[in-house]
Amino acid sequence: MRTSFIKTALFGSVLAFSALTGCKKSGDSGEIPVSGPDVWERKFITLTGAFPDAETATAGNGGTMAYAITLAEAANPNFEVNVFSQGYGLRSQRTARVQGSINGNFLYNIQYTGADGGIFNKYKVEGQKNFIDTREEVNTEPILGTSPRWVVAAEGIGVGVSASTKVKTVDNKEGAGAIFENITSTAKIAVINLNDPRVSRQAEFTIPFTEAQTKDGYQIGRIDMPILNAAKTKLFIGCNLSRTDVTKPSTVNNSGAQTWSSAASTLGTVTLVVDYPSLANPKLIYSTQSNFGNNGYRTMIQHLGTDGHIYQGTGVNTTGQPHILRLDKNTNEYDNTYLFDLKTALGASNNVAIRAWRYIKDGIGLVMYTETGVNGGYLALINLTTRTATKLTNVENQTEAGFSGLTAAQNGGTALTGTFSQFQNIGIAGDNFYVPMTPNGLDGNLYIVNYKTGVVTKGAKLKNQSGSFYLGAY
Amino acid sequence: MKHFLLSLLFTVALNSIVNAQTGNISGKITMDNGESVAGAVVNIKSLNKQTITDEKGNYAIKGIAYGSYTLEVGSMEILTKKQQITINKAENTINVSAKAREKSDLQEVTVQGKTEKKKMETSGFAVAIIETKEASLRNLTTNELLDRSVGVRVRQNGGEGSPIEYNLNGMSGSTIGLFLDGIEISTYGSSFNLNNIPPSMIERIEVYKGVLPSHLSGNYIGGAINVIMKKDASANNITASASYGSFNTYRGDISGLYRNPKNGLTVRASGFFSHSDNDYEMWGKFSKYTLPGLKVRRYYRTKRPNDKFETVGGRFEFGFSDVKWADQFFIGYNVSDTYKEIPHGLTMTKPYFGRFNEYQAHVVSLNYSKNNLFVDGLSLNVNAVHSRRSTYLQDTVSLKYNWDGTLLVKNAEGPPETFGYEPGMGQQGEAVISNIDRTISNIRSNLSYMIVSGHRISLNHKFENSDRNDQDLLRPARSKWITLNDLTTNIWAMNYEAEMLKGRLKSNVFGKYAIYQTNQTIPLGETNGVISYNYNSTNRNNQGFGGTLSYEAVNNGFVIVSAEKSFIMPTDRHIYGEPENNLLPNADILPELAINYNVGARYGFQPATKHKINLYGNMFWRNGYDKIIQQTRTDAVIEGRENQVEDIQVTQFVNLSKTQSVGFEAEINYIYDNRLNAMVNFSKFNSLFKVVSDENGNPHSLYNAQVPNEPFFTVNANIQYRFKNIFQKNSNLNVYYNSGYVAPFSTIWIESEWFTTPTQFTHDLGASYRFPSGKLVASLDAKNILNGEIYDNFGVQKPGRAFYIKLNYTINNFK
Repeated sequence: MRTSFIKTALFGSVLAFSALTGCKKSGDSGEIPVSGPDVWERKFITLTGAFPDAETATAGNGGTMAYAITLAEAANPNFEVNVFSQGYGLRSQRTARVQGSINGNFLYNIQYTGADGGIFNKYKVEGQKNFIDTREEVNTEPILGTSPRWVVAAEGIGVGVSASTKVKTVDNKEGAGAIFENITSTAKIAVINLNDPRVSRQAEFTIPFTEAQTKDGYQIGRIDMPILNAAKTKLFIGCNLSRTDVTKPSTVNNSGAQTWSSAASTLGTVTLVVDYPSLANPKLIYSTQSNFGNNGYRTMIQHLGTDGHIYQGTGVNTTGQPHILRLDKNTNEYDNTYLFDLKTALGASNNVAIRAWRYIKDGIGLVMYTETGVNGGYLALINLTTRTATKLTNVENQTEAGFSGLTAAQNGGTALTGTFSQFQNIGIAGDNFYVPMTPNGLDGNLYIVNYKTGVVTKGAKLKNQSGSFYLGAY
Repeated sequence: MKHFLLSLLFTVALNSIVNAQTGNISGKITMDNGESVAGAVVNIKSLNKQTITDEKGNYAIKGIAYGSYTLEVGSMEILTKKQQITINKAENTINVSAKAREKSDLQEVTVQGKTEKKKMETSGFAVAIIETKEASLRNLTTNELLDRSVGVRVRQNGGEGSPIEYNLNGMSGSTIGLFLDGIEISTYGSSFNLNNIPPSMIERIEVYKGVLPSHLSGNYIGGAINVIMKKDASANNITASASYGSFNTYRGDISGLYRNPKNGLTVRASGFFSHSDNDYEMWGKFSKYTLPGLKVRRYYRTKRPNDKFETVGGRFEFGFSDVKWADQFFIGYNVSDTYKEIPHGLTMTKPYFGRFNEYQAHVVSLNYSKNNLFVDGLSLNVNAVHSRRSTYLQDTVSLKYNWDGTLLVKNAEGPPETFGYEPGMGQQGEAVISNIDRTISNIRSNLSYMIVSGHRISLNHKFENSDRNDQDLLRPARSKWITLNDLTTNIWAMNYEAEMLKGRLKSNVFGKYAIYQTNQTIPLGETNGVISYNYNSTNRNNQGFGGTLSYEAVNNGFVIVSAEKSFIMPTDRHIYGEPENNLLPNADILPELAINYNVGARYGFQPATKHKINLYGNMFWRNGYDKIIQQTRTDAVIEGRENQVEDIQVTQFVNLSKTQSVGFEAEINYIYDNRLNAMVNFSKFNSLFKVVSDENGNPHSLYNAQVPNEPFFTVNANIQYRFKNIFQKNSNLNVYYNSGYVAPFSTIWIESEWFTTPTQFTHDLGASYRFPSGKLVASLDAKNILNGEIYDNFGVQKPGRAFYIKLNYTINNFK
């Protein structure tokens, strides 16, 4: 039995020793990684994919994987990529909005919730699963919160935004039956220098509605998709304009907080404009051509054209719309003579919704859209000058419901999240668009579209898994 | 399979109600000099029957099957004596005379506790009994004690007093019942729980895994932790202790018992106080410093701020014990108060300053138990508790801070500019001052009847009513608009226990039926100062059944089997949410079903005199259907919060179609000569994702993958050695070493160093010294002696190296 005691004692000391030696700190290796602006040629296309979350396996909600392939691999339909098994996990507990630099040599993201929610990270793309975390971290949480909305507003400049509203009732009455008096909408903006990661400027202000408008219930509770004009003097921010029905008294929710009925807005689509870089002189500009929100969801919906105008898609959260509007480069106002309507351009009988789009050159863009009442996700090349569109038919699988999604009722009890509503980025290299096309939970391919010829090339095979989809190409 | 197991149990139980002849024994225990021995344990080991002598040394044991047995008698005053007896008539008088023991020889004190522990652990349930006797003299909290137990993982979100989740063999959250003397511990309020009840007030802790006995029935499928408060009324005593340690931690507790032997009047009182600043150092990767311009520096070494914890409480019981009309009759009053600062949310995303909770609870209780009520073999046990508890939350500081308590600076260039005040905001979101009052009535009754020796039938009933009243103290006008929830639960349970083959085979079959009624009062509008309401009432019910079997195959070797099928009904928290915690309601949530199996064995043997080895192993298989889990909502717009930018994480309870946890736990205990005690245990399980098909109807890619965020492999080891007469004659020195290991686990599906809870490996040393008088014990403990960087939950760092000292003083047997 004495040997047993010795063994136990030995076990204990082995435990202790291994703990002592295993305690070396990792992480601060000391070497300074390559960073700064993207000054290299394009070498890779990075593909990203969204995992389901841990507790419930909710589709596309559990973090982002990334994998970089060469342009040759991208164009090879026999080349197979499985971002989920081969890829690199970008830092974010939940699927974050990933942005890329112009030639795809850097990826950026701001972590969405979790222990580092609101922390900005930058990665150098080195091919395959090799991404160097530059460890130039920025804490945007004090301004943008732990689940920020941000995009690259111009090469090297990231802009994060946030908005909130506060209702005032007559006599500050609480509970049900209170009468609406006024509402204030507040915006916060943080400018992030992507080449030397830090917050270079920030601002907070009341969104400048007129007194009559706020008393009429107009408000902006969410803003997103900031873009800089070509001269980098103005920042245009998409808004979710809504309106409280001021004729109806308040009701309450379970926690006793007031809730309000909403009324239809008649102001048209609205954009918040501030001066850059001062972020001063906030101003609201209105479109007479469209009345939809323009704060988008996961993907950038405003693009700067080679003609110097900004083209702005409409759509709020997961609801896409068929309109693209123009912000005039000379007046920095809406060009209210201009409207691109995808439904008209395609001659579609049902309503169509732009879920993601990207401008390339010469007035040409690629649109990813869905059609009301039709399963599937479709691609079209659009000409913003002639206001025409060509549906690309050469895409396999495009009629899959996993692109457009199904409700629980349509899908036998379990909702099917559509890839298109979560899609983040269409890649551009040279004259080509790069679009990963995977329905939720099914394999697909990367498609390459030449904007000049309109030729669609089936590229690398994309292996998928349940509750997942490829989110973007960078 | 399960039906087979259950019907087997049932058949065995039925077959054994064959009327065997039984007799009673009674007698007197005396010392050589003729003096009677009070409080001696009289034990028939092979039948697991024992009793304690009264103050005159008399004892009686009833219902012993005819045959020959060894009667064992022990106490603090006498040396253990064994005597062969034969039962062959209805009444047998057996008097025992034993040798008096030398005063200092106190080793056998734990005889009674050990038998109780062993009796429960071999009853058929997968249960671990944690004794607190020794721990109460040391600088150990109740949670630390639990965490060292096999198959139990206590996950605490920071330092002392922080929120805790208990994981039993891979089951956690609301599937685990927490009881205090069989009553839901939540009844006693958040100010009186395992975070602050000192081990010295506790007799023992029972940890049931998976299958629950009928007296603990409730809405739990993962198991239960039942804390048994001190009941012993054998000897008058007063004990007091005081401790001081790292992080400005100081604690004190005092308890006393007085019993008048003439009329049985018994008074028991205890009180505790505990304080900790929890300002331990953090230096891990989630310890961040935000520089001017909001650049981030990691591995920032700083003291944990705003985590002070202070708690004070008292428990007073007054009544009678061992009188004609009651074995125990007590009226009790329990009061407690806790102040806890909240340093951050679920994760260390940002520090909170000035956010804190205050909990208070006033609890009155009535406890009645009587064996042989009216007729022999009928016993009644009633435990009724009524409580008023309150939870106060305040968060009104709007400034933005760094972890070291300095204000965040916006700009990198120019004169430093801070974020300033934001009216109406707090640290976690909108400013809050709220109070929730809950009134809870909880009555648990147990009526059991011994049909014949070894066959007992019991009826259990539990009634619970809880009622809550929320007040918004920052916007008092809002209070009356908050929906009120009132929940009433009635649970009936019945079980039948049988002992056969001279007590070698024990079985227990049970069934449960529960009714839950929820009433909601929803304010709609106000006319002339009168609020109109919408009333919403729901009724849900469910049933479950199960059984256990224990067979002593060889002497001291037991095979233990248990199985249960039960439901969890969604609670008001699941259905109505908790707006104060950003938890959304879900009206469509379904009940959760679980089918649990345990197969295990225990074996104790003595390879040589002075050497004792105890082995334990258990395999478990837990199947959950429609598991209720908390999901983070990702919707772009959340109903009722349309205009809110979701900066705050919002969650909701939902059903996950199927889960499974399969695993094994084991423990080896080696004792040498009552001096050396070495123990190693481990628990390993696979918590598997069991959703068969995905949203497309295809086989799910993650089927059978390990579910993230479960600590699936834990090992605990401890060694204790007792030195006698080392500094002074008649003194005792105990030295302890404890080591805990938790294998790293990922918190999300993706493998990433940033979302992996790294290996937790800690080493603790301790020593306690009992002075020769036996009245004073001094303990010194050093925890996490290697200053390991340990995390439990989502990167929240736990304390590093810490030292504690404690003094205990006991006065026994005063008149």
